[in-house]
Amino acid sequence: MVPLPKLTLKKFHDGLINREFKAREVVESYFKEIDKHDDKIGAYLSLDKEAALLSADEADLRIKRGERLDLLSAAPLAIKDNILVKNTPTTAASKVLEGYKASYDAAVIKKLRSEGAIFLGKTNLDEFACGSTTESSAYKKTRNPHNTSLVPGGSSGGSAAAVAANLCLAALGSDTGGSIRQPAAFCEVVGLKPTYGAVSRSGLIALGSSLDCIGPLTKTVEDAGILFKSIAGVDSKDSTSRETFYGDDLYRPKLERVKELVVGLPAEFAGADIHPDIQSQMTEVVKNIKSLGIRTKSISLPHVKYAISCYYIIMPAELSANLSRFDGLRYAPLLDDDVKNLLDCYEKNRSLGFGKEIKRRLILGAFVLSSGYYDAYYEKAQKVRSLIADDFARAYEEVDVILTPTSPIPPFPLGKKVEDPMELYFADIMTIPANLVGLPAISIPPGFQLIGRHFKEADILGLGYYYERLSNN
Amino acid sequence: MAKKQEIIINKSAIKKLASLTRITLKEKEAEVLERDLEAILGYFNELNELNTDGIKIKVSGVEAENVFREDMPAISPSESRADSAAVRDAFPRAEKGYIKVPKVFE
Repeated sequence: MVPLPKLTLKKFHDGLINREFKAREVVESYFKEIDKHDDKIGAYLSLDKEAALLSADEADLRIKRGERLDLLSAAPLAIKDNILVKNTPTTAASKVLEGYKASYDAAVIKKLRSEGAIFLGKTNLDEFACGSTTESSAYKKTRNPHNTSLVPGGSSGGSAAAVAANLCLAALGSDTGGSIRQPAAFCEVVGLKPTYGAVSRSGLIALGSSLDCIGPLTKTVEDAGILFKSIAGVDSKDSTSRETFYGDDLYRPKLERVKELVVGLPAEFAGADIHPDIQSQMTEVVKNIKSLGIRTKSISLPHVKYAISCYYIIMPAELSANLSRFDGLRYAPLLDDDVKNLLDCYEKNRSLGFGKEIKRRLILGAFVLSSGYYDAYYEKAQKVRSLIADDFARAYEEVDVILTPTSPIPPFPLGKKVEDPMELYFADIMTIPANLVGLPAISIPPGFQLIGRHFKEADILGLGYYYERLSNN
Repeated sequence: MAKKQEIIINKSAIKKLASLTRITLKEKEAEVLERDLEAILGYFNELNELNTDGIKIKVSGVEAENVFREDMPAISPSESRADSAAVRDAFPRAEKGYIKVPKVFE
């Protein structure tokens, strides 16, 4: 049996080309682990064994022939179920997409496929990525592998849990307000939200189009850099995507360069609303960063306290527009076809298909966009978003990277917060600002976040890389 | 600058919003949403502390640029036919290449 917990993307690649194991053995080991443990954890919504094993055999054949393999060749990955993988079920964990099979590959999947990556299956999420516990999935509950009475975080809870429980080598998630970073923190793995525009959104089921990003969840910072580099780049199918020039420093940073970084500590993220356990964790993190010879500096981001209001106006507005395409006719079998007219058909099927949190956000989105309230809410929020962006721009005149906790609270038991939406929304306070401003941000165990300048993923990955080596020694 | 509007969230306002988003709500659902929406909108009032006169709106966090291209087919006709077939195959119910829907004329 291949020792799965020890594998990283780099070690897997080396083991493969040095013929320590075959791709098929590793893929079979993952499926064995999934069969054994996923009943309890609930990370996956669907598996694609046949295609995965076929790709593994292809890679093994190429090795036998002595062909060169890409770094991600045969790497067994898990994909969040709001990212399209051709001919496989894609549900966004919603009843409105039950039984739907994707008719094309998302841009990120095309890129990974061209490098030979293997897709083990699709992972659970909050319905349409709306939530921070993975409890709003219409299909199943996902549990935190480190303590199954706790939530894994969300919305990419399935991907985070799969990485943490060694049910895949690495995974993709999506992040609109923290959906990669918060579950990464809860499951003690690494999660990177790239700069808005660094990775194509084509083939990602849209939530908030001005906020959504696809990014990696991995065991190590090095792996996050490797996976990010392979999915980044401009794409004609996403006109917000940019041509970017990323180098090997994403996963092979130079210590001299990292030591020149100045880390900003925002006063606004050190308040009494932070759980004492997280506060003492952060004291330790700051000490460790200083021990690398890196300078820190106190900064102020005066408008970030308005980020929750700003986000919970803009995101539902975009969501309510994006989800209007689900008319109950094209993607899933009709849940009710006893209808009087077309409007009745839409209403019946959407009412049966969408869960409670989606309905709440649809109504909220319709409200903030409705005539008479648009200026007071949507336009106001967009202006406050500019003020938050200006705060960050000023801070980056003095510092290179900003340090915060990823979540103000540690993982909590399943079922604890589902009834109070505001309490749950507050938990996103640390992660939302990076989405509103489009900045890259990474969550690193034990649960701290580094936010970088636009397209400077190399700064946060570089600092994370040396931090990780420090804590492993 | 936006004119201050009296916000009235009651059951009929919730029902109106539901119909705008093409969903129907059960009585109990509407009650819960009325309570939630009141609490959420109440919280949003904090934004009124800020003077935003003359602030320019940024559409996303990153500078936006217009992207232009010629309107030309990017794939061959046979690829195009295969793509259309894949989309049609995803329809839950279809007949002769068309999507099949329930009778919707009264």
